[in-house]
Amino acid sequence: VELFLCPPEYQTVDETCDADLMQRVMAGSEAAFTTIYRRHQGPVYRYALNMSGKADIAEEVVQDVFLVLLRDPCQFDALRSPLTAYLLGIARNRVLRWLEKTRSFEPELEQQADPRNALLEPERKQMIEQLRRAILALPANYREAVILCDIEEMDYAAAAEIQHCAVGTIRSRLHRARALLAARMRAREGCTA
Amino acid sequence: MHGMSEEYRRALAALKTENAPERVEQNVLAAFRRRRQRKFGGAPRWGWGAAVAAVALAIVGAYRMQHADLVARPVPVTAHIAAPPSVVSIPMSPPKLAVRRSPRVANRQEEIATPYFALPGADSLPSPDAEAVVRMVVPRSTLQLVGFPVNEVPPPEFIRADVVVGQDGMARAIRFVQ
Repeated sequence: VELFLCPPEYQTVDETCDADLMQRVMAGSEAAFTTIYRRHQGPVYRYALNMSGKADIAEEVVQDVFLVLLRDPCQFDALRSPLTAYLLGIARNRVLRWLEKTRSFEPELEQQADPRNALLEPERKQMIEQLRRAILALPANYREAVILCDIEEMDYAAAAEIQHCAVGTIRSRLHRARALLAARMRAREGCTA
Repeated sequence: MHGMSEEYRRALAALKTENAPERVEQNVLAAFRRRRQRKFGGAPRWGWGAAVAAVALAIVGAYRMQHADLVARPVPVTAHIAAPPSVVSIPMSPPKLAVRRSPRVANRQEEIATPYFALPGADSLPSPDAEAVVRMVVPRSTLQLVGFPVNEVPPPEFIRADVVVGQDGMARAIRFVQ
């Protein structure tokens, strides 16, 4: 049975909502799956990358998350949570398992070989690396709050659902994380100056 | 963010634009295609196996039908019966063994079988909708259950019996076969 959970104005081309796209994926539409992948790979990748500090782990997590979606698409319930939150929940389990296995709650930053970074001016490039290091140096819970709320710009409620905690907890974690981050960035600035 | 320069805000914005490399998309799409192929396209993996098994069964069946008179037909182990067999109550004196011939198989080995006897406690069971007769080997002492005298001197041996079993798995009646 086809379920059309989106308003009709969203039934056109690329703006089709995730619930409809998932129905099409289940019917075997590659175009729908590609749209879903391109729409949601970014948040999943950035979450895994900033949590682990390793690009290869982030790639593996992205791959795993979408394979889980393929294997059991019925697990996603559009009425319960948006697809991004569902996918980030899967990514979170993978990343936390990896962190637990490696027991590196403050993972080392891997040198990124991103070709886009080569185009940036050296100062800005350095700034990005410093920020990334500062985020990685945060405790895992704080780091997660910063990634979800500041990088992915999710609202507190969505972030709280992913982190399985209260909205107030997210708010306080984010407050402390930002303070820690600012202090570390100032310290680094002082060192480089 | 608290006390952070504009530069750092821009750095944060740069982190927001990172995406998974192209090869990840290719891997994921390849997995999607493989899965779709298995789910929607082509014959399932077990299809060929099932077809081969069906052909093999057909050949064996045809061969057995052609050579039915040459092949000794095995005695069925289990037989479903439409109606429950007639059951006699447990006699006070030992009954005589009756000789029964199977009407279906002319050349079948002759069997000597007793009538069916209700097993103790079977009366209290609800009458089943369906029953099955199960041929099994039981200890000779089972004869005592229905009133046959059993000589204890020789070592215990086993005898064949047909047991009427209800759909609930409870045994209702038994007859002994020699």
